[in-house]
Amino acid sequence: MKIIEIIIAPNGQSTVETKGFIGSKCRDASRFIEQAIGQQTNEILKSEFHQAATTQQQIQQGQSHKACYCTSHKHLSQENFHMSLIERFSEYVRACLTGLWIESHEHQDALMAIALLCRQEHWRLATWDIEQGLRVDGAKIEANGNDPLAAITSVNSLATSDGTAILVLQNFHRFLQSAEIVQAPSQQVIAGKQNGTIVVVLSPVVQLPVELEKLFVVLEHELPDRAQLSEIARGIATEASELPARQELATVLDAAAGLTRLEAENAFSLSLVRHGRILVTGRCTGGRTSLAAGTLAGSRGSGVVKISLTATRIIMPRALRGSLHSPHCSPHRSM
Amino acid sequence: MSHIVEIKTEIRDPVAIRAACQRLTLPEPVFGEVKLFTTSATGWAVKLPEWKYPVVCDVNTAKIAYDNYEGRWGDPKHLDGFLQGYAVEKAKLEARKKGHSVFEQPLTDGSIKLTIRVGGVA
Repeated sequence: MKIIEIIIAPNGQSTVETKGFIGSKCRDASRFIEQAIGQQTNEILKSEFHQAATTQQQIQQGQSHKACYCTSHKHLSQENFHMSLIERFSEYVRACLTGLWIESHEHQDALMAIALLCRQEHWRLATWDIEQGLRVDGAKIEANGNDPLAAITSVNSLATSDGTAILVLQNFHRFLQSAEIVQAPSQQVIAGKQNGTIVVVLSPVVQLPVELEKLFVVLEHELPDRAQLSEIARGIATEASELPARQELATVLDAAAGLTRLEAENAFSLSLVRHGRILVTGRCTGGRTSLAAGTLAGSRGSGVVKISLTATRIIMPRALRGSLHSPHCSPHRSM
Repeated sequence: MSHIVEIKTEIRDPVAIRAACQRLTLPEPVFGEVKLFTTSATGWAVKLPEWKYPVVCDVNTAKIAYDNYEGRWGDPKHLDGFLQGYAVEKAKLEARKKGHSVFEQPLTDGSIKLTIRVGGVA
């Protein structure tokens, strides 16, 4: 077990001691605390500091048995799949589902949509992320800054007797390894039923610890559909000559299926810069590679690849969702 | 165990100052220029119990300005207590940010022990 032990004396002086680390890794592990508290005045290296890594292997193996995150979540039902994120979100908030987990790769888009909805419905909205801290109506709240635990409890201060308050926590999956941070949303989701506060986690992956598995409902922020991709393409190709003809545009949209809004925008822009118009060129080996190469997914008029692209569009949101549940698997587009 | 480091507390975080004040049930810290008998100082002013003048923390330089007239205008143990509270809260804040779990335990000699489990317990 890797532990950092800090003894803070009544005069405010601290002693930091690391336990269970291999060799010099303890220095890296405790550096953040040492730098945060103050200035180092003395350091004592123990004999274990120089111990070979091999003798510590067993400790490391013991650590690897961390509890696995849940593999089954309450995903949206099949009949709701066609509904947009914001429609489902609105429905769930009205139904007072107080713990929502939005799986999204496009946080800004999701946040803008949520902010718009909150404005329309007169719901109070606060957002939090580790870099910007807590923000209410876009303004930073200094109190408690970027403490993840304080962020969760802060939603109660937004609660009103007859209104709804929503707290959106961005990339909060990063903090859910801590026992006390797991406890806070757990209690808040229950308390939210009484005071009308909703905790929303915005994250690119679904990594719910077992304690929160039954408390949160997972929503998927879907990738852009053909109409949205077409809109993005038309927004970038402002001249008529830059936009492909109808049939070719359909191929471009097929090829762009599975990209996020930003990826599609980047790919269209790069295609414009390279070729003067939006078109499908080159051979695609994967979403990111094709973007870096400035080409959209597709392959020299090959019907086989076209079929595989269509299949990818279906595979992406559905089949890969299973792999997203595992913390050890990351979603990659296969084309 | 592999290494032990001794650290002198430096006050550099207004969030942890506020948390320390809440912990010690002190009034909220106030930022501004404060008069200390003959001099003045700018920073986060913390009002310690039974101290005539507040303690002023400049978070940019980590310097603490105060005038307790060698203990006649304020007991130094309150300042030590504030430093201890600050260090505890700051360490907890930083550990939470990293996603580690923290356990606090008071010791009989007045010290506070924090145990940070790296990687949490989930």
